[in-house]
Amino acid sequence: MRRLTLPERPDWRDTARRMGFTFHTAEGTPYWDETAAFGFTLREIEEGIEAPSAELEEMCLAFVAEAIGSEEILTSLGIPRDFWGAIHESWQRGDRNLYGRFDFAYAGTGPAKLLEYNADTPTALFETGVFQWHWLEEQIARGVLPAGSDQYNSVHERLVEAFRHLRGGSAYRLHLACARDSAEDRGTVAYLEDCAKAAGLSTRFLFMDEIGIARDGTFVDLANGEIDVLFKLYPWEWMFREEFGQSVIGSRTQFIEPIWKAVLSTKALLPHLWRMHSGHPNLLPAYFAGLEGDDLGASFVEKPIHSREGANIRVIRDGKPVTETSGPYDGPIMRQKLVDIPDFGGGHVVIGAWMVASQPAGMLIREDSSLITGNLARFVPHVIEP
Amino acid sequence: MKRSSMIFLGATGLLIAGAWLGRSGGPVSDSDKAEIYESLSACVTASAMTREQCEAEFAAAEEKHLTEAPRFNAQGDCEAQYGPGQCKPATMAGTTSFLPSLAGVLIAQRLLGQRQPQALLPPLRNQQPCAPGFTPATQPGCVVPRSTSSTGVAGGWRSYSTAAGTTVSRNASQLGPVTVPRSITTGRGGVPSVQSSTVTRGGFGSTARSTSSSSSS
Repeated sequence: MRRLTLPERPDWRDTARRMGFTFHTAEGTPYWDETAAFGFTLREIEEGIEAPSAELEEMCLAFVAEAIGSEEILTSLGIPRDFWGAIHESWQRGDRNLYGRFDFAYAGTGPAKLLEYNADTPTALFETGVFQWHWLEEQIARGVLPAGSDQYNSVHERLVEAFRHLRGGSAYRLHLACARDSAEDRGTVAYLEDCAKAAGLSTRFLFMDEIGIARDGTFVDLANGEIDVLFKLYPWEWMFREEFGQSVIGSRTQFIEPIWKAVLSTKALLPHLWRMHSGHPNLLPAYFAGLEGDDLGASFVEKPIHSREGANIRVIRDGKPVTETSGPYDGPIMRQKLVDIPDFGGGHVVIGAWMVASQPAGMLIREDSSLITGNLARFVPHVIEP
Repeated sequence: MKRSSMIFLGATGLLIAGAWLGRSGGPVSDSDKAEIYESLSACVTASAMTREQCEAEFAAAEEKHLTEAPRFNAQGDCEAQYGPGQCKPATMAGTTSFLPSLAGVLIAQRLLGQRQPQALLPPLRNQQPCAPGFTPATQPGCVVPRSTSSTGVAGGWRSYSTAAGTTVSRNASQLGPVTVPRSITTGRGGVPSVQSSTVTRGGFGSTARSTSSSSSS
């Protein structure tokens, strides 16, 4: 694994605009950054990222199976009791999941360490599956990258396949929804809608606040049409506490991600994984606050179990707080052993490993000047060198 | 090999996102010229379009009618909004519901391929009636009160509603273009005012509004 300095394509901003990738610059700072790229060997990808992703996914699914039968675990995950039954049913019914993203600290040497699992509402999908791929093709065509350069990236075709098989191969109508006022979220959903169309589905978009409930409790769209299948880029833990949350219970609507993903989309997952697989090379010691084991040590990261985008995180080194981010989240806290986030000269590097339908599917790399990867991190493309 | 086999993926992936951004960005003037036809034959006879073009616009509008018209669980609920005899059963994905009939097709006066034909429904019964002495030309959006029939023709005007609940009227005696809000010809009518009285909305989304952080991660 090495950091390459490359000439950027002079016309990439035009390409981005043409493709609808408007959020390549966020809050005045670049988000997409192709002045650099990370080069990997195939072995680093296959053994360092892909295989651990598959194994961790297995461990996570095994954890769901355990959690749904345990009041103690469900309570520790912060899931309101009202929804335990719906989660249990969703899992037993085998509701399929679409995607998720593991975030790793990895420097090409030693095992990748799982920082967290974004199992419910990950973004950066379009940039990974399409724009990063397009970059590779163009840079090979322009001679910037050698012929035979490759990329760990089957995100797009796996998404299309996953949509196609979500209901056992039979056709269905898909609704997609996200919150208002986020270009990134809206762009991600527009991309997923396109993937669904490529799978032959009929689709409709609406915002979360446009979803209606009919007298019989059915979720309906703006034309009062029943929502059979809903992709929602909106966290389950928010839906649980909103006015319509209770209507999810017993609903005929199939949700993507399925409600059982709420078991995984919390940082409370990490202490449980460590409990079940203590010493696993891809895991870091992690505990709920107040229940620490000796292996946590005096240097750790403190995260509310439901924080997002690097908000409300504290880094404690040798017993002293060194970095802290602000944010709106509170609630239960977990602690995770502090790990070195590698820096190749361009900032702290975090690798996002995509799972689509629980299969390893591709990768993105973000660099951040801060130790805590937030929403101002830069997306740097990667290449498997020939 | 890790490489994607879909060389063309960029092309498919992006058009939709691009189209969406194109629609939402940039200045938008607020009105548009459009023609309204109640039948294919009226379109062929009275418009400047060929039969093939009329057929294509009608086919597109009919598809929109099925996917965008408000749906009701009971015929009575639908008729309460659109009037007696104005609703038909339709079956989609195995369930039967009732939706207002296709009353006309609205075609924007634009280049071929950009006309975005819209399905027009019977007028809503609860729309604001035109004030005495006013017509839809002088009081946009109002409905001329009907006398006895529910044909939609009243006082020389014919009214329709869009799937989003906006009233559109044209003078029944002339077939020329009507001026309508741009939101109608682009199909971006916002939150419809047409809702089955039994549907409530807005029960999701409050957390996103109350936090500055994104819902994604």
